[in-house]
Amino acid sequence: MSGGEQFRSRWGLILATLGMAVGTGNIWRFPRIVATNGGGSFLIAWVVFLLIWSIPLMILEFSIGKRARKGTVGAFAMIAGPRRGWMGGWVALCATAIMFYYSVVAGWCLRYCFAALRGELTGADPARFWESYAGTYEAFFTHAAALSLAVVVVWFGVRGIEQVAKVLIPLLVVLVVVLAVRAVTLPGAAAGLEFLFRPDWAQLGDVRIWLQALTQNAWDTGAGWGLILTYAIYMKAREDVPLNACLIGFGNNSMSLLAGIMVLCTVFAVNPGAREEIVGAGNEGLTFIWMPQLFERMPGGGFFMVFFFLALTFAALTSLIAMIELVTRILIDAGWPRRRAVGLVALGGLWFGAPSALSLDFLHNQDWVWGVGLMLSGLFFALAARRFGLEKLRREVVNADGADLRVGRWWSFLVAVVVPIEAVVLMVWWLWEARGWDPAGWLNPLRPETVGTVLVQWAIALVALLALNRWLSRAGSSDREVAG
Amino acid sequence: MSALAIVTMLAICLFVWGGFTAFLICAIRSEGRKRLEKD
Repeated sequence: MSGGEQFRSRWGLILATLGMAVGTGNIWRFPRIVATNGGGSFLIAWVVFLLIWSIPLMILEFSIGKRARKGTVGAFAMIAGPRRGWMGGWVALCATAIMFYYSVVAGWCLRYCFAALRGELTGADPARFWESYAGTYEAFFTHAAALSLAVVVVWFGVRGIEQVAKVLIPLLVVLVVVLAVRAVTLPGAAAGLEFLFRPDWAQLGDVRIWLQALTQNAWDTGAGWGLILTYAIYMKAREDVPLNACLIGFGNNSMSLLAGIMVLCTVFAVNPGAREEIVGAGNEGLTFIWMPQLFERMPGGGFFMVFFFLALTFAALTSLIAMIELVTRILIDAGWPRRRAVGLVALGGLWFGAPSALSLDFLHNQDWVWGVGLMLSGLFFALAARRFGLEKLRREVVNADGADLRVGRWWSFLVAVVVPIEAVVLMVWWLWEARGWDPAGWLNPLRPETVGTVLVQWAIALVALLALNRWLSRAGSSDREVAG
Repeated sequence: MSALAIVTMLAICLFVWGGFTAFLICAIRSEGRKRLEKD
């Protein structure tokens, strides 16, 4: 069913899945969100949602992927019935739409990595450097370059994915640890640790802190995206599910914590007076405008800046590889040979990623629409599993022969009840918040981050998926084994 | 650093990093056991 492809070892699976989970969100979003949402209070809520969102969904994705041995469309058709293949189509669509602009982001990281290596950022005006690059044809070329790198890996199948993960992820960990150690040893870094970890008990009563913590888990760990399901197709038959899910969840959050320490200690040590401006600058502002400035003011900063952008590039590429594999897998399930499928995904990625490369507004729009769409993906996973029978899944797959941990009924309760509530609450909250960002035009579908643009794009997608459901379910569940 | 920040830092870091380490050790031991069974 997996076309003979399999991860050679447990470590290959774990490193590849960790590579999927650890992305730019760990490094550039987490530190900002912690800093602007109460520090230690946020971290407490964040750890709670690691346990009641990320890990239960990861266990679910691993078990569905392992059971179905099909991409998201075929898996949903098998688990929840052929009338629900469209839900797997939604999961795939969100991941694909994200892939289109994520390769642009990976291209940014690649560009800055080279810029740091060549010393282009030293003495340069970072804001001007960013503005002369982002949204230009240069950004299109780096998007193509990043996409090509990831496509080459997927071309070689699971072996390629495993080999690359075995090199890049340990390197990524070393880079982030070195940067974090450098940051905490800077004079003044203790203030950053204080800011990051001191809880404000009053803020724990603020529901926004909890919603932001849940959002960070939802966008950061990759749980409910369909990417873990895709890699689980290539698990060995007796491979453990629950312990691997815990490893990935805790591993991902470990990296976020290191990144938070790295960024915030650097900010507080080098430019504490501008900390509010820095953490309020957004993902791109923090990463591509402020961090180069901070590194430049640090002893040995040029060297550490290379490490930073290299780490960001590795994180972005390994996540991009997973997204490309998700789409490729669905085409393989429909009977396409891997090489032809990868070729089509590459062309599609190049073409549909171009608007995001050339327009930051378009990129932010897609990030907004499909970022919230991921919450619907999580809900669909939970609903599909309920349809199949959570106790059946727990007995036959999660706690099957080979499991290193036994998962109790608490998991079934979390997936059946808690995860759907979390998903719905998150979607409603984000859409409600969006009303306040643009009070006059919140329903305008042509503005980047409005309720209107979400509703219109989702409606088009859902109508198309429902109309194509029969074809999707049949194509996604094809038993044609195609070599190459 | 304040005592509260230190305690929270230790608790969060021990839980997250310690949790990861504990699960990793479990996985290493499990793989070792499986290899012995195969031999």
